[in-house]
Amino acid sequence: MESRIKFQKDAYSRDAIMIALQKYLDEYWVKILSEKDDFIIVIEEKNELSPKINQREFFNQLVEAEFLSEREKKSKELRKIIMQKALSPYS
Amino acid sequence: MESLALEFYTDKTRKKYSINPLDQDIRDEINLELVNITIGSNGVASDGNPQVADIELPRMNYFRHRQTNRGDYFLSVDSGNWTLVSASEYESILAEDFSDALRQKLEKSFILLTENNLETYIDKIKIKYGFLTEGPTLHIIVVTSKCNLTCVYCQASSPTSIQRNMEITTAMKTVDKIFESPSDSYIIEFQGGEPLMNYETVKSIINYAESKAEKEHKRVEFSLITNFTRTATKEKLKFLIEHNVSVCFSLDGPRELHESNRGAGYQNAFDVLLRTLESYKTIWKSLKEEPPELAALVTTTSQSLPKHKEIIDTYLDLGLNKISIRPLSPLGIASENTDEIGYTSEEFMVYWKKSIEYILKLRSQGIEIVDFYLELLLTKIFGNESGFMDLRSPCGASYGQITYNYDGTVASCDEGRMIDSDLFKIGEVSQHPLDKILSSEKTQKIFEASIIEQYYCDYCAFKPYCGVCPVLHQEQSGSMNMNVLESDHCKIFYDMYTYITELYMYDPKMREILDDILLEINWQKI
Repeated sequence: MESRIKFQKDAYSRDAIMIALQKYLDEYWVKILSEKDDFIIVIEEKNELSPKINQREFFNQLVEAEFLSEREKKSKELRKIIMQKALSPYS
Repeated sequence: MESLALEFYTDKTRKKYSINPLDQDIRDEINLELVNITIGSNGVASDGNPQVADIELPRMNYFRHRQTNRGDYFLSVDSGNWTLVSASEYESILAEDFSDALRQKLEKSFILLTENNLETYIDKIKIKYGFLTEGPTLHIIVVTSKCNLTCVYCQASSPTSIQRNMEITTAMKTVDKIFESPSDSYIIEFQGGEPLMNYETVKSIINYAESKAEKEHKRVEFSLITNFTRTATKEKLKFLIEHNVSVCFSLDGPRELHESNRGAGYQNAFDVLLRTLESYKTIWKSLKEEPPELAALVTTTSQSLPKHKEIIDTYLDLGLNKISIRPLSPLGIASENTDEIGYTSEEFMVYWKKSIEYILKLRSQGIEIVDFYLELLLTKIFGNESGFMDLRSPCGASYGQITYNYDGTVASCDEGRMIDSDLFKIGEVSQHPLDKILSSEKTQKIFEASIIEQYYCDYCAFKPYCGVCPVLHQEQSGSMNMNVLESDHCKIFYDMYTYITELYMYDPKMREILDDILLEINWQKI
């Protein structure tokens, strides 16, 4: 069975959408459609054993993904500097 | 998705093996941003980017989280340090408004970076990724593709495999190739087929590598994976023991199970194994004072699943106190026989957990036995272990290990030579210098595919202790880069880490036993 989840394009970043959707790829066929102001996520179960899609759960995961993505972006420079220092042969 | 990857030099002298940046097209395709490490007067990047001194402290480090089954949060940072916080503490962390006690906890686990712990944290990262500067240390030589058995789960050969020995000239060139690696010490591992079916070549390699190591002031160790059948004659065993070759053999469990896995056409495999084992112990005692060191591997088929106790008991009966309970690798013949011998990752995990419960119960009764993966995962979580090449990022392919096949081809790793594809064949012993092999675009592509920061893994709390296998990805999905959440590898190791961490955190009795294991392997808690 196919589920369609629609939300405004500017509600979540594209990174967050991609992060959230990765969890669905094992059990579902996933498509991202784009309208003028909205994204539509089409999720179809791969087989009868796939759990039913819970839209509220999906939105929770989008929020979680937005948070993960933000945290990663915020600390990217820090991680880069630490790695550079740690892996430099003369430090 | 933001990603972090590294450009580095595998040679301490920085003269060889520089990993050149990938073609821009490839970089764009896999969305990597390479960090250029260049020589600066104080070892800090000199490309105008911000430096350590520019980090405003205190500040939150990048951490990953996982909510436990009891509602607490397991938090980890890149160095592998971790802590457990309650749900309310987690909320305070997100708000960056915490008590002194919580602040101390976060500082100790490097989730909060301060002037007191930043340098220590950088040192921990340096140790964790130290392997990047060593060059390949594990060199696997497939001295033959011949085998006297037809095991149902063999991953090293396929029904269409050619049965051939490595020639002596190729073997000598292979040793020369190994010594081109900048590492100070090497492990040469003999594999097959059954390596003892080409004993003369094994012997020549050992003798030549020993004399070369002495001349070049390097250290070389040997190991050999064998089926311990009639090919392991007393003469061969004596030579192996005299040259300190670590021997690892296959033992799948009780007689019936062990023999049913060996395939038709080989009778009494279990009795033959017992006799070889006895010979080995007798020869060992005549040559050495310390007790024999033996390692065995159990390969799990669907028939093994209901027999976890019998398998462990067989090991104990034969005086082996270390077992390595591992899932099937779907390569070679094993992939052909999946319908008969395969199982789901969930089924494997039920079996593995039952095995671990039984092992821990035995240990609580004073019986010494440990599982390889239990020990390995514990050392990863508590000891910052990064030597095991299958569970690190980048994985060991090419830059940690190299496999030299019987026909003179060079593969990125053991798994890479088993797959029916040229993607992981990175050179020819007789044609390519090692530095060219390691810096080739093909090798870099494999390397990049094993950096887990580019996958969903970068959001997983167990990321510092894990790794991916581009070969298994290729076999499972037809691409070296796949969604890790769809891989059995991820399902199995995520579940293993969850099980072990929760056992440690919430079961005081089990924690005591796990602490004992950690003490035995002499790892310091971080």
